[in-house]
Amino acid sequence: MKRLLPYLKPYRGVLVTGVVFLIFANLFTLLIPRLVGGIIDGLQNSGEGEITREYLFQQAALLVLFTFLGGISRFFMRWLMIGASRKAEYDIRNDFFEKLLSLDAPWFQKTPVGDLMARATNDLNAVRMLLGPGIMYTFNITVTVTIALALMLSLDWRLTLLSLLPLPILSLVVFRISSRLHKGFEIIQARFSSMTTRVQENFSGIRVVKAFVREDHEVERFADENREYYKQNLAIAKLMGLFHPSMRLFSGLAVIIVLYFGGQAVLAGRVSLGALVAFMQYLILLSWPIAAMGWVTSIVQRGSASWIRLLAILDAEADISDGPYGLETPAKGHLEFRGLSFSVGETEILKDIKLKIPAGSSLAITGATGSGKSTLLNFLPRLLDPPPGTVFLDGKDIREFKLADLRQQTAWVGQEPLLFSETLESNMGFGETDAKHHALQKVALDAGILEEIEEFPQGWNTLVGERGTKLSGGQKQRVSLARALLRGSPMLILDAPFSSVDTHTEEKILANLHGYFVERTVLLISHRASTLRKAERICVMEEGRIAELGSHEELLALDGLYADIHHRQLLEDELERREFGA
Amino acid sequence: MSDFFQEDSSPVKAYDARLMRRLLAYLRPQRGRVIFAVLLLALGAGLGLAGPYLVKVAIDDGILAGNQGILLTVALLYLLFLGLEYVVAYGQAIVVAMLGQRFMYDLRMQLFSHMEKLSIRFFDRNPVGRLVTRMTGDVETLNEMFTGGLIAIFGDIFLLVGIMIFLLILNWRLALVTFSVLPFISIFTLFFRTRLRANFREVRKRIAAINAYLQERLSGISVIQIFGREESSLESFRDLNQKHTKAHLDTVFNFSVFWPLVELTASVSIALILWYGGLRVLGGDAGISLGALAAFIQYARRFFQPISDLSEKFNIMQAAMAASERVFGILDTEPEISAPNNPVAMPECSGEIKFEGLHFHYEEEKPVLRGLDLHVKPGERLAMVGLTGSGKTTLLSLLLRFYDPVKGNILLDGTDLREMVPGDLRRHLALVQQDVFLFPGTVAENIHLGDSQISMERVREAAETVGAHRFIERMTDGYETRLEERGGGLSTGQKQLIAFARALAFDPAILILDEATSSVDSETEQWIQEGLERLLTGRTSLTVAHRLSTIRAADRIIVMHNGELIEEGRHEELLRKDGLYRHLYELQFADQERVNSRRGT
Repeated sequence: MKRLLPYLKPYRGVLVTGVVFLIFANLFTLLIPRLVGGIIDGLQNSGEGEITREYLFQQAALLVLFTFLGGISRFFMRWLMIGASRKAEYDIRNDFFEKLLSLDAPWFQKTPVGDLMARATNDLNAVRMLLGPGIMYTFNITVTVTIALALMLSLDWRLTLLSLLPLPILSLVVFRISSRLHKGFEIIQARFSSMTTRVQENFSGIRVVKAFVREDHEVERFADENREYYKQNLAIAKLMGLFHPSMRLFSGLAVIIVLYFGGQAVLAGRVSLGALVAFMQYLILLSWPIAAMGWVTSIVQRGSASWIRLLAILDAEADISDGPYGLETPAKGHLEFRGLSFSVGETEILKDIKLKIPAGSSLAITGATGSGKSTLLNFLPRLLDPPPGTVFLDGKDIREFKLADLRQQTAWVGQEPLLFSETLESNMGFGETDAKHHALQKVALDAGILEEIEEFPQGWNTLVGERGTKLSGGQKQRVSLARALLRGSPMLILDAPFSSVDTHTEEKILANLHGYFVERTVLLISHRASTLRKAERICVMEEGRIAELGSHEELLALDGLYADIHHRQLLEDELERREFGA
Repeated sequence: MSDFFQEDSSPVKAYDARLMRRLLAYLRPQRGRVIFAVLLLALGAGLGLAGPYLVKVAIDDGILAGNQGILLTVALLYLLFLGLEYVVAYGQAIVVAMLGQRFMYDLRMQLFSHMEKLSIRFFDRNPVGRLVTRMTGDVETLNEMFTGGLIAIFGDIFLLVGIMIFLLILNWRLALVTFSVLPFISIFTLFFRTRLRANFREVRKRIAAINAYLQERLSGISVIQIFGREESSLESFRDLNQKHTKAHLDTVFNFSVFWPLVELTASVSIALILWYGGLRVLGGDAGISLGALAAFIQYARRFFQPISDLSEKFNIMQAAMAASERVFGILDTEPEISAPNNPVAMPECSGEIKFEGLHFHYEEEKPVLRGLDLHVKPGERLAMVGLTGSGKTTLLSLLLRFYDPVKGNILLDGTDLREMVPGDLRRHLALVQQDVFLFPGTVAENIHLGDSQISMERVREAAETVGAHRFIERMTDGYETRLEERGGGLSTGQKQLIAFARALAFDPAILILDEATSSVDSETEQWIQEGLERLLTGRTSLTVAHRLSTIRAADRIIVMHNGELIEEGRHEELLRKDGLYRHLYELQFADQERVNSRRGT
């Protein structure tokens, strides 16, 4: 809870002012029963000529005036206090997103997006309720009770004490229920996340669900989630259902006590009838805040349970973070792996990788599935963190650079193209907000997508849909290639960027990319022999090691894995020619 | 959770009889509870009315008359009423909660089951985030309408009417004085209702925009980071957030004005009671006692309280109408692909497929298939080649009945696909997609997909056959290893191997492979080829081919171009023809790695 305070700090002044208004609002409201009591007393004793028509009018007018002043105070109270909570919500939401932006790929792999969305919506909303109505009504209850008690005491202390008799039992009830609520809300939020994730995954994989006729099974699994969520909610609802009636019961008990003992006191002449009427009005005025205690408690409990879930994100630390140095731009692009080994859990993914990639040279990487190719490339923009002293750029450990600088120097194209639901133009200009149109056209041409873009009815303004769903797989890959080319970074990292592009198009793109291969440091993963040959050097990986490294000719001379692949290819070619010739 | 921009743009009424009738139908199975809840509500309102009246009796007949006995009787009666009220209120809370939770459970179940039946086209059109919102946020809103809106409004109406009747009986003059401020309240309410309605709509729109943005950015976070767009993303987000906050502040402002206005009106009413009643008392009117005055004041307070939160209930109703329109929109979506009335059962399938004069398009004017004819014999291995967009993948989707043809028929063992239950049809097919989809769960679960018919041995066997067993075994918990979201920890090739194992485990008559081998390295592909060889025996297969080995091993290759079948035959025959295939071969295959060359040597 302490950690929430900083979010209120900027609005401290506002909140304090709000509380002052809150006090005034209550003062004015609570003076009204005294006015009413006075009028009743006056009327009761009217035979003695104590009250005149003018006095009556005055008192009634005063009552309206008090309400008016109370109303104005209440306006400021609500406007300031609830307003502050909305602003704090704004700050928390920004921080939440900012934190997420700073977290690294390994962290996101562990955290489903659905779960994050649940925190950003449900949990944040619960925290906002805590900050707004939660705080305001807590103060309101405290102030109302304090002022009302003071005024009641000034009327008759014995009656006041008597009317407080039910209070201890009440607080016990509130305490018992609210501690159980807290636990319940934690479970509910977790259940909600789990249910949402299930639904989300099901819809995302609907083709598989349908192709394998798993609909009924999925419905069953959903039913389990749904039932658990239902049960938890019902349990909480039953508990909450106790709150309101209990509050009313206890405030009603107080009224009865006052009515009975107060009535006797009036009969005995110790208390005036007006005072008794005022007393009972106080109890009624008090009954709402007391009844609201349950509601406020549940807001606070739910809010604090949710705050813990938000804190889990806000406190998450990226393992991959800025190094101390800025990078002199542009980097030369000289890359080096010095004895890099890397494991995930107990699985060793890379073993003692030693590799120098001089600035401006190109390296193609091939190897079996799981041989560690992608992992190797993921180190360069530090999507994964290499152990210290293993990966160097221009002679410096890449861990020592500021992340943004390092990434600015690497143009990266991943296996799965991720586009955003914006226009083609803004997707392509993603890395460079002020990209000129001709620059966009140039990279689109190089990536072999320009023609298609211009054929779209909306051209560059075509909206690509959520995650680019309106484009084909190959189009998405080419857009994400163009997006990377636009950066003009000295290092170009291509992680199997043509998997959804047909060979013909790939050939064309590779021809277009020739200039980039000459000017930049290029690392390229591919399985296609024709593509591999485009690079100056080829690296064959096997079970996390570099099995072979060298130019096409050198590797042929080595007569190893690559030569094997190539040799087979030649044999096949020959075979084809013969078949065709026959 | 999230809504989306385009939603909630049209004004929705707070009360729509058509929607309401439909919503109420959901309460029908719980009719008993509803009736019980309403009864308890009426009872509670009635019991609540007793208090101020008892106070009047205590003052007039007890205190002013000097009768101690009456005071005690009143106190005891009061206690009795209070106890009853407690029981009734608690009972009502429980019944309403059960009602609401059950309603949500049922509706979520109905929505999910219904969506599972809907066709792929539906999922093409609706982003996942939006569908999840239908299941969560909208359902929650509807529940609030029942529990916090409708039922509370019922309660309020009982209370208002009860108080009005009671006051009129007690003293009709004073009652009319009390009600004299009602026109003012109506004016305020009407005025603020319009403003608040606009506020609420704005708020909903803004939160939808934030959530849509958040969802997408989080899904593509690595791209943002690599391209260094954190700052600009944060800026756009702040902007959306700012607009959202402003919308809320407008709402807060209007409420902050509206509520005190209602209070003020209520207190004018109380002042009038005191003034007018006081004058009558002064004038010696025997009809108005001091106790009655005190009771009137208490009733007046209770009378105005429901009115002050009327606009909030109005918001609940309005939000619920909008939500119900969206929810019903989904429930009213008919599955385009559904079972016919008298479906043909097909317990066994030989794997013979006939495509007859097949026409298809996703969008009007953009034909994808134009009159395709094809006969696939049982056990035949068919490879499909063609440029991107030639209609290969679409053809497979039609066979799976993800879509129905616009014109023409597909026959499986002589039976039109449309005469079968889609599930029965798909049981004979297995699909391996190009983008493998893995569910959160264990490796084994991703292979058997929860099918209890598939034993662990079969899972293992399938994995071994396709060569996935090796890497699965090396994982921390082997087959019980939990996969990260979308199989995050696995390479693309590994994911494909799992998908192969999955397809194999289901032992289909027909295997559908969509470019399944396109991004697997030659070594992995070799295992797969070996596994597939065993798998394909005795099965019909349709493969969108990107690999030489596939076309060489195929019994027949069909060449597709612009949605038409233009060449077919075996590899060597087609090469000799020197047609499109020859070109495609040179472009796509001739220069490729030789995966199964060992088989050839």
